[in-house]
Amino acid sequence: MKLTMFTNHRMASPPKRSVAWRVLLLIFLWNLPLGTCKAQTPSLLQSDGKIYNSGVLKIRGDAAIIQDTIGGVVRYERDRLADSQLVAHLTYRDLHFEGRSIKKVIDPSEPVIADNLFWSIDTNVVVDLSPATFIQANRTVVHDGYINPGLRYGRFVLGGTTNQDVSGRGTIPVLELNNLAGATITRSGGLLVFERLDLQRGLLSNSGADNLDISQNGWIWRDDSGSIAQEPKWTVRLNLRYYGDSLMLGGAEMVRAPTAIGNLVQDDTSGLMLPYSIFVNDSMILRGHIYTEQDSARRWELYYTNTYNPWYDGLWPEVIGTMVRTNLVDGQPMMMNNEHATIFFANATERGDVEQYAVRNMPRTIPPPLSDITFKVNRFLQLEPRSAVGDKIADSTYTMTFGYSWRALERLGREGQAFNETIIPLRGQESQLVLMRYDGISYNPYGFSALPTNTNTPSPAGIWRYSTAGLVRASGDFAIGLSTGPIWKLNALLYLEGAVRTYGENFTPIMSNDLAVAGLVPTVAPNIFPYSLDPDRLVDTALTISDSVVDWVTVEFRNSPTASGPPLLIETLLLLVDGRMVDPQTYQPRVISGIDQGYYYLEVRHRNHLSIITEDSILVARSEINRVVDFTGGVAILGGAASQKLIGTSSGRRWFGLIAGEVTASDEILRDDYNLVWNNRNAEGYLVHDTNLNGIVTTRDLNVTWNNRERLSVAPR
Amino acid sequence: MSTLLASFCLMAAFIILAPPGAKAQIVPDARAVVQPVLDPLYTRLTFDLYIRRLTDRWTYWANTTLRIQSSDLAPTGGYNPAVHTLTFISDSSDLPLVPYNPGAMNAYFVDYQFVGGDIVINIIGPDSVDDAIAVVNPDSIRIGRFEVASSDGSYVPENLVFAAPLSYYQANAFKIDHDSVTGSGTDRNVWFVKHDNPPLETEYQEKAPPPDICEAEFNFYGQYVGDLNVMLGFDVTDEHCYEGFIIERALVDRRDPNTLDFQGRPQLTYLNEPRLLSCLCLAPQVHDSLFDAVEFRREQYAYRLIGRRLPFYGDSLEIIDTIFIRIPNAIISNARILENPFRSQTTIRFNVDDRLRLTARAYDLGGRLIGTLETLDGKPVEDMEYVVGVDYRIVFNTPSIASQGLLNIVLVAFPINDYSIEEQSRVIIKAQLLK
Repeated sequence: MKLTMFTNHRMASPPKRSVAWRVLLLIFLWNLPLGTCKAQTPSLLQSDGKIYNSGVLKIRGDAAIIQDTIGGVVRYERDRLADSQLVAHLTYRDLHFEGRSIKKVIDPSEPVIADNLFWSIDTNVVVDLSPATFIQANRTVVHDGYINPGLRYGRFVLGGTTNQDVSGRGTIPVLELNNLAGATITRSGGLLVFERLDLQRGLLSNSGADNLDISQNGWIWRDDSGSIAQEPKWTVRLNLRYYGDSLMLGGAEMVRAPTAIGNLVQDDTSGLMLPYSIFVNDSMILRGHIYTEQDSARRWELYYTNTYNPWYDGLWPEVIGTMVRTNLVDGQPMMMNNEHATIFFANATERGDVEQYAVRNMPRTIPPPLSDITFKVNRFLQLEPRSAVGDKIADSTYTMTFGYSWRALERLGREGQAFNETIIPLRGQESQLVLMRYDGISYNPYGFSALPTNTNTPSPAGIWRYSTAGLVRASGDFAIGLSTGPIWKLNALLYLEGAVRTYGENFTPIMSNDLAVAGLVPTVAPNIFPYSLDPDRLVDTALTISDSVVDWVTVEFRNSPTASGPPLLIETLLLLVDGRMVDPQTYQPRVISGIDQGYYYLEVRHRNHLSIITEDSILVARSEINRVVDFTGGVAILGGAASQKLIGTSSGRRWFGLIAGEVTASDEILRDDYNLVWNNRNAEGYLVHDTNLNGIVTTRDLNVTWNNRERLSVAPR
Repeated sequence: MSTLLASFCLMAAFIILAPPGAKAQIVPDARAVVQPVLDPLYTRLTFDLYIRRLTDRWTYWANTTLRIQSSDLAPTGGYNPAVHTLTFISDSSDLPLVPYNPGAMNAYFVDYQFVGGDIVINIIGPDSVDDAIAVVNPDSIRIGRFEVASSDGSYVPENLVFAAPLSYYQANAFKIDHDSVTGSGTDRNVWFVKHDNPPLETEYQEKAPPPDICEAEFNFYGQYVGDLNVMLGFDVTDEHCYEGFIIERALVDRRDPNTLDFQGRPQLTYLNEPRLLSCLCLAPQVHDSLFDAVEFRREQYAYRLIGRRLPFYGDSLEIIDTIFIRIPNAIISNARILENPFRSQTTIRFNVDDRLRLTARAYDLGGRLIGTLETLDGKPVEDMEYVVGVDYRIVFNTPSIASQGLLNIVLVAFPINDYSIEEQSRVIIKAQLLK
């Protein structure tokens, strides 16, 4: 017998309360016999009007209610095992499920929402929840029933705006937390999440006593706005997925037990930061970076135990920090921190005692120490083979091939920031960059790098450069750089007589910065002698001229102290007030490249001082990068102290400077120099006639030239 | 020898211990001084530059750059070469000067110019210390006197300052006459050699302009010079405060001589007479040979000298002095006969108070003309012109026809260019002729 109750309340004004009660009474009366008779066909509550309920509406048949919300308690209580009961999709205040009939929640047009209480009373309650819809509880959840038992779909959403309490020991395939105020597991918890716990927004507060269970191989998904307070209960394996678009710090869902985490899917485009070291055992898919180091004090490691390679989906993702492969497979490349970073052991013999391999991969990082002179890309690598228990394996006890890679194309992508790790001096030479290892003094090419390096071909081609280096037999600090790059660092001291203001005994070795303070020193050395001799003069552009600058000088590298002709190399540098000659861009000692390592005579020139050259050749090599070439002592200069000007004595030593007053670029101070200075008297600016380098030509400059009359330079030109 | 060594060490110590960066501990060795001097022209500034020796640590002066600003004009850009000119007063320097010689210098050359609104004086010295000027301690040398004048009549302020920073704009050096060496043996350090120009630790002093006061002394004078003309003049010790002068005249009323009604004389005002313009200078001046024509003889005229103060000094008229000049009432005066009685010749002496034409004759008592007097060189005094003078002498030579007795020697004079033709001077002298 099918009973249909039509209500006809399409009036504009609400019905009177007595009418509503009459409707409820009718519903009750019409359904009352169902609980006691054997009729198997459920009745239908079909309401095209509106039901006002502040009491308990018990529904034992299917329900079809068109109104959006309904107050009071609505209890679906059909209790015949063989029957099902259709649940109307609308917003309830309190929604109770009880009885053995399967509660069917299948309307895809809208969810079932329990605004105050969702209560599945006991384990008799089974909900058939369609994948096309979901149940949402906005406040209290007491769930002791089953939702889609045996199935991996069926969403139950905690979607309120105030903190929700969740209890019961029922099962839910997919539990989603979408409540910024969070939810709290109460009354001993016990809720079993069968497929996944999706932490979209808000904190899921749990504890050891009030916890929920994640079934075996269940997932925890986390958006960057969701989190869980404590480690959930888990069985055998737990899988993790992260998504969102802002950098996320991992939380309690990252179970520390080494065997707990099976699969890790990293879909947060802005990256995932590890809160501590974790193990990933089954698979790893990265669509965004994983950072393992929060800061220098909190460096963690990502252990990946599976022999299958991780999947770096997309061009960018990589593990920034330390990744450890714990199950090494011989004879095949094993992917490390990114898809182009690999390790390869040919066989067990070559692997030796290596059971694990750790790579610390630091993109956009200048390989330390900063004082190193070699040209390297801005990526720092630390390699460490380990034993099964994590001890470092001694060098030379194994042989491997390391696949190195770096970002070589500036392209804005999902990362949100474009960058190119290839430093400017290396651009155009990307195909020649090799693996380098720091030997305590400098980085040097290490192993046998396969050149030219490769570039990725998918669009955008060239974002990665990579290659492999064989015969890697040591751990330590590594970089990627140019084997033929810098060979030396020019640490040199020089004084210019003209810029010395305090001279004599008790000499304070400091020069004047008058030109720089007046803003007269150009950012590019002017096209006059001797700077015009430097073919790379325009390259040596200073970004700024600091107040510590005295002027531009040049240093020439020559094979002979006397033979004239072009030098092998000219460096145009800035001279600082303390006598240091520095690179105009870095204000650090100039890194020398472009010539072979070897012995050279160094000649120093300035626009209105006499040049000098070292008497003996100097070894220019990476092993000598800490050497300081001192041009201020008046010794080891061709021509001896007579080639320079005594400018002061202090503590038993003499200080010498270049002889000032030579304004005609003739290597000799003659009457012409004197006359030229006089003829340019009163001029102000960056002038060659300004022999004391203070920005104006006076008789003071005239006297500098006069007092050095007939002095000459023996340095070659 | 020990003195030389001491001097050596002293000089070396100066060289070594005179770092510009430690000025507070250093006694300056020299002082550069700029000294404005009183210049009567407000459109002109005159100043002197000195180098003063302060210590015994140097003797011979080498060269300098001195940059000077007008403290009043500097904020608005300083001197403008389109308006201002800078002049070096020749012979104002104590230095031996020569033109600049690029080949060699054996004396000093002064270069002066406006640079960036400032006055910059550069002096280059001789190559050899033997040609350098020695400065006695504690004496000074005057580098020279300079003038800055405006061509548009604008005032040229007098306050001058050395441009700062001093270590940037200013320079001063001496010339060393021996090598500067410290230590010996392996510690021997040579800092300067003979003829070098080491820098001088110099202080810079700006002196205030001298006070500008008007204390001129005048000597106003005049005299009648004949032809009803009065010649006036005055001497003045310093007329820089005056634009010019005016001389007024008043006829003294005998009945009320204390009331003088001075009237301007068109030719006796600086507006019309350039000689009455002030020289606008400090040097004593003479303004003379100023003539004024009077109308009346036998009267007294008063002349009053008035000075016109320059606007800068008050822009007023200052009555300086008044003199009185009497116009003589006779044009022949003090006529005397020197020999009387006389026989063959007698001489008449007279003064001429004004230029005149004179006729001198002798008559007997009957009125008959006996003869005409003659000048000492024998020319008859017949309508003869005489200029103002004294002790003129003419003679009467007794003619043969003259008989003994009294004669009337009559001198009749007519003023030349007199306003009144009737004005004449007649003198009759009784002379006794003896035969």
